[in-house]
Amino acid sequence: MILSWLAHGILKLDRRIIYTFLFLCVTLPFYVDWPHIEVEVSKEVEDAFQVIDQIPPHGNPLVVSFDYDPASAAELTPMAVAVLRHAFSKGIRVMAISLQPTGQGAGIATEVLPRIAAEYGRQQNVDWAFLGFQPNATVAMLQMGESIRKTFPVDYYDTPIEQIPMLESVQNYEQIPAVFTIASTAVGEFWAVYPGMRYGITVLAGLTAVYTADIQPFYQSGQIKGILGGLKGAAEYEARIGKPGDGLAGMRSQKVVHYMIIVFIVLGNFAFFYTQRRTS
Amino acid sequence: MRLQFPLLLCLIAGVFMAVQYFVPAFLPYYNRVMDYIQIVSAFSIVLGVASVVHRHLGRMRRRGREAKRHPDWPYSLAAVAGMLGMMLAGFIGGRGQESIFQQLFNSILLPVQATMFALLAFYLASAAFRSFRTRSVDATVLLSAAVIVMIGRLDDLGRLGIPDVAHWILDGPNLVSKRAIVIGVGLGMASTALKVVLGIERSYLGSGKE
Amino acid sequence: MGGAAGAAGWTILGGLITLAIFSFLYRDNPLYKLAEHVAVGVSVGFIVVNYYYNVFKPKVWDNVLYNGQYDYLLPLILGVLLFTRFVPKWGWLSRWSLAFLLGAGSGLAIPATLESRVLQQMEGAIRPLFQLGGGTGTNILQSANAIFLFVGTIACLVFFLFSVEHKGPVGRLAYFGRLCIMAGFGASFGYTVMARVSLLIGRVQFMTRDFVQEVVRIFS
Repeated sequence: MILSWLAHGILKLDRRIIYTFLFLCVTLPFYVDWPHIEVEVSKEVEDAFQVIDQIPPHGNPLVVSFDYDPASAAELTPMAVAVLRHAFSKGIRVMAISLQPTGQGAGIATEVLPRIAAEYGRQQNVDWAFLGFQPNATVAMLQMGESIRKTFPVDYYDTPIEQIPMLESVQNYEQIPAVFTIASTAVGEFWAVYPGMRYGITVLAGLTAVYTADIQPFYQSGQIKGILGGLKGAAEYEARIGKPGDGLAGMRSQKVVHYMIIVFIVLGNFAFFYTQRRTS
Repeated sequence: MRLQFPLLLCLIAGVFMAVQYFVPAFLPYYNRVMDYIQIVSAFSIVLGVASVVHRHLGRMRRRGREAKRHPDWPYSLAAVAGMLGMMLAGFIGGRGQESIFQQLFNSILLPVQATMFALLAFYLASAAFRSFRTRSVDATVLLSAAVIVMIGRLDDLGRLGIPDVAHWILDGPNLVSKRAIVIGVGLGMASTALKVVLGIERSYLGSGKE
Repeated sequence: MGGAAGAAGWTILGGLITLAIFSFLYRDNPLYKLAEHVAVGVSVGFIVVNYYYNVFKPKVWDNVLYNGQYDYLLPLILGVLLFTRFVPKWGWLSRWSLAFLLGAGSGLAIPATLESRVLQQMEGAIRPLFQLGGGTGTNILQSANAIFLFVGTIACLVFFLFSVEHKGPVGRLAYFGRLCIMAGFGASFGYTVMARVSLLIGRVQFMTRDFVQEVVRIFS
């Protein structure tokens, strides 16, 4: 009888109670030092770390492409911050662009890039440059293979590219050691498909968790050399560089909610099958 | 002529872009055409913007015998005001980190889009309760893989080997299935692209009645 | 608006807008609609400003007026022709621009797609088999994995082959493919849960860390 009451209660549960429970599961871990989190750096993240770590400081820049919009910012900005911190701490130059079609990736980059550069005393146009955005991602990626100056005649702040000291000797992909694309859509894959095929560039991808499962074939075939997947990927990279940030901070909530969802699935199935059996 | 010229233009552009990859002599023309594509692509996005503005302005106009506005016209007014405010801020105040343009982006656009997608977590939790049923072998395999990956990705239950099983699911069944999908999509994309270039696929031209 | 007071004001605005959107969980309401519409307008204004500064001005305006490259008037004309869609009598002109965009995009896609999505993926499925048995370091697990990667890919491709009846050996192979696909979708679902929850965590981080801090500062 108790089981029957439980089963029927579960099936009739108001969704707003579920929402409240979820909200508490996300919020409380920020205030309580529980549960315990252990983050192991996966092979994909380690590979990405090694590629960036081997870039010579004060030399040719790492291209960081902000190819995501504010909808995915919560997942992707922590990994952008972690990679920028890694690069700036080692004196690696960063050339940032955005190929997100509506330009909102450029808005995010405008907020993130100067803030993180300032943490390490890095100067604009000497240690980092932000070239703005272009609407057609595949065309921009391919154009950069011939001439970065033709693709981005001016930077985001209207400075002609010729007047940016750190880009004096940078013409095209031959001077670019790696591209780190942070993407919420297929644009991340396009880097491997278009310029990866044609110019043989080294592509590292920071992707939403949704896309991480889909991009595995490109990683296994060597078209993408390293992957940061979702908030967990950001947490792993933060652990690797030894600088905790929003990625690690969110892991407790992530763990609690994951188990909550699993419990919901189990309870929902129990209630469904129990009531089905009673009815038949 | 209204149909033939676009088809010819599509064929020339398509063949040129496909062939230039193999012919280095075409490089200077290729670079110029890429710029052209960027500019026309930009206008296609602006077309979408114009549609949105047209719709909202239409809702604010009085129509019909009773000269009534659309019931949601105040919201359309807010949308148009937001657009004008953003344009003024951008064109007058610039786009720097401390500019009003950037602050409006950080305080309005970013929270709205981020929060709208954050709502999905609530719907997911509700769906986990009500919809995810292991009614068949396929569904059981799917949900089992999902649960193992969810726990394994948190590097939890290491003693039971869950992270290793999760890793194998990602590098095994997930990899082969996604690879098959990528190959299938690749073949489909290439054949559709070829059909578009050769004029066999003409749906982008509309009904052709004009 | 500068300084700490300005920054606090923007943070509070962001927090209030977040709460307005969250109010949709209870039910649709005027606050949610207002926030949504303002955001639509702001995003449209954002696009117009950025497109002007990043595309139109450097690539068309400066090239035509200052560099004497008048051929850039051609894409400008093609772009403007797109707007003829709004005029029924002249709408057919917009086909020229669409034809150019689609033709060029399709032409670019053909070699890239065949190379990256087909040939390199096929190589990725076959290469582990050829790496087996070469010297030390290949154990039975690696061998089994390499065979699984090859057979699994074939099985999944066979599952999608609907012109052959799934009976007998083909049926068994297709069933194996189906199980792999289900496991793959399960992995995607697990990752999707991670992704959606991360987005909520990000918003809660902002609200609890930044917004609440500013509100407490105002009231204290």
